Amino acid sequence: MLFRFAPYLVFGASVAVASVVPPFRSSLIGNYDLGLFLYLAISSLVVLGIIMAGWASNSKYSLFGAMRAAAQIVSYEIPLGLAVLVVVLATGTLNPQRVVYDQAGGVHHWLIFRQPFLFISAFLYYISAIAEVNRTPFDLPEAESEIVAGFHTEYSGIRFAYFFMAEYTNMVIVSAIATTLFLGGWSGPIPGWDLLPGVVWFALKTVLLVFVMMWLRWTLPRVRVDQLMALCWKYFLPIGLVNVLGTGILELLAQEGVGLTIGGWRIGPNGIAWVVVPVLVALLGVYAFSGGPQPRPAAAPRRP
Amino acid sequence: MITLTHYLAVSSLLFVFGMFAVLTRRNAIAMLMGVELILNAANLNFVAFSKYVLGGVLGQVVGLFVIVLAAAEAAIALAIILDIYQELATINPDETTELKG
Amino acid sequence: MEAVVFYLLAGVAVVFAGVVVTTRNVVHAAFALMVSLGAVAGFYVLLDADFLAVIQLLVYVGGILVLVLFGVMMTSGRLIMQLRAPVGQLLPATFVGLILLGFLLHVGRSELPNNRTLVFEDSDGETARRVARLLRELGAESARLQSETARVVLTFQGAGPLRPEAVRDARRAVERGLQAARPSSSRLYVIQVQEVWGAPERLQIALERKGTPASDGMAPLDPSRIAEILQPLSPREDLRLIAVQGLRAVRVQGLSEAVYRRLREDPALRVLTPLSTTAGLGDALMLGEFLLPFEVAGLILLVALMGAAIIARKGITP
Repeated sequence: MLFRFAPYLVFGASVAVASVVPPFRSSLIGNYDLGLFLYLAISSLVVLGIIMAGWASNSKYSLFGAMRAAAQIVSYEIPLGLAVLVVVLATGTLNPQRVVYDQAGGVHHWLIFRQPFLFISAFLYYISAIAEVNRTPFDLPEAESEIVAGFHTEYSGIRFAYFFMAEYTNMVIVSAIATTLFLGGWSGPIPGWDLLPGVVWFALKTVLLVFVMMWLRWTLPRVRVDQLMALCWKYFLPIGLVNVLGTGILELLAQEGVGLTIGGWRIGPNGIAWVVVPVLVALLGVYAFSGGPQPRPAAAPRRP
Repeated sequence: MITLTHYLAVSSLLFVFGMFAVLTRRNAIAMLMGVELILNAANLNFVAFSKYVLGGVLGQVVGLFVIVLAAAEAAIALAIILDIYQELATINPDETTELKG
Repeated sequence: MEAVVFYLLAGVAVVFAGVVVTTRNVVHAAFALMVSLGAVAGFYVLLDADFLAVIQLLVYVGGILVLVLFGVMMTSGRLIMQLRAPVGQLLPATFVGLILLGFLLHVGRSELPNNRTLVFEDSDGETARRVARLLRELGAESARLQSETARVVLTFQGAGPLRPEAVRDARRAVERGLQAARPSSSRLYVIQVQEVWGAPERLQIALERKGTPASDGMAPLDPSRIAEILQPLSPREDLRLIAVQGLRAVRVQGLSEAVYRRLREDPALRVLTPLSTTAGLGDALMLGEFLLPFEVAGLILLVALMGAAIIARKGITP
């Protein structure tokens, strides 16, 4: 029974996420006060469906695939959540429609260009989202060279189709949410120029992000399991935490009214951060690539 | 018209089921599930009282704490269960009698 | 409608809790627990605790259950296992369970103290009179009636159909205006922007106090004061503040269960639902009386998770 129910749970959870994306102005879809939080909650239901499928298939490849998928999705949920949290901090709302309103009025208002931490967060979100929906280069749960087809090895017919529909729905929806959070949602890139309706802008941006996902799939090879986990826990998690901290500081400074006035132009904390943070990142990069702290030479192996 | 009593009835049932699981199960993880049911029943009571009697968010705040601490509790309990399983190859609480005098 | 949803959720929650208790298969028990906990999340929505419902889904269903399933799969050679206790243990457990259930149901049916609260919209003062008359008829003299301003609605008028950036700027202007008047005061209000159907050149922003006035002892909403604060500010050249209206409400406290039900079912009275309970919750946790418990709970969680990680690591225990 669980075997039959699992694909519907996975597909249902994927589609339910669509309810938090506002596709156009004055849309009631996505105009919900807990939207972004609900997105995180519902997307974590997919894991249960995948474990259900893997366990109920009663096959070792399915179970391996399900375990891999669960470990991967649960891990990448954390940087994903941190990236969303940065947006929530910067806009002060959990309502996706409000987030889009906050970015209205041209490309320079989009959150990805507001301050450097959000710029980093956008990439963090996108990469974590690719891992979350099990696309190449992170498609270990369905790695056909190792575990046949992962958790859906034993499925066929319409239930198999549901798994694949879930995967592609997920791609589109994750891109749509990235559009909403970082690329201005339905608002156009040029202020005061209403040639295309909002829903067309929204679709264009979403399709662009989906295209990039497909492009990555055909370009990059699959990573190893340890690389995948190291990427999440050793790099994404600290970067995400620094992003949250930095955004919090910038919001606090903005609230206190800190800023510079140079020749009649007022530069707020976000503008200052655009100068300071890239310099810091560059310094850190130079330090890292120059070797960092030199590791002590390993003791020569002693012969027995 | 749904009243507080309806919620109390549901949460009593959940509580009793959870307690029944804790009393009769021979598997530590199944007992843990019973504990989760009990916590949920208590939580449901907090939120229902918060809406129907007290007003405000006090009940919800307590509910939030319960959920957070339940998460910590589950993580620790499972870690202990895994450790016991590695040591004794069983998770039946009746058979884990290492400390028996 | 509410009753239908309630009984549906109650049936699902109780039946699947029963499956958790009786099934012989631990994995089936875990998935039944998932459904049962999901139904409890549904109850939270019915009880106006949206935030808690989402937390329930995120932490319980998405977190704890995945942990439990991992635990099941790592500790069981055979997945089907003996779960039932011998009859000698089952009978006393059933006995204790039934007694406890009877006791709990009895307690649940007992009369509660008369302290239910209701808030009704009251635009013209008619509602207050009607409620007072109903209370007299029902013999509920102990109930306290209090008239107050529950919400302030600011109406902005633009030159033409509003652009999205105008909506954004109006919201920011209101936030900043409130904040300039008194630091941290913008955090005291729930601010919600509403577009007016059929009038694209208009915009309404509703303000509501977080928390109940009784609980925090702060001054109630004052529309004329807010108008005074916000009148000089114009968010954009093409947008003006044309009206500041207070939405009057009447708060009835100290109701008994029967009177409460009677008032709620009266078709002429409109119950005022708050703009958002989430904001109130965040306020109580982050700025209010629960800051310290919140931090302590966070610390406990951190220590617990570190402890769990250490315990679960192989080779640390001797």
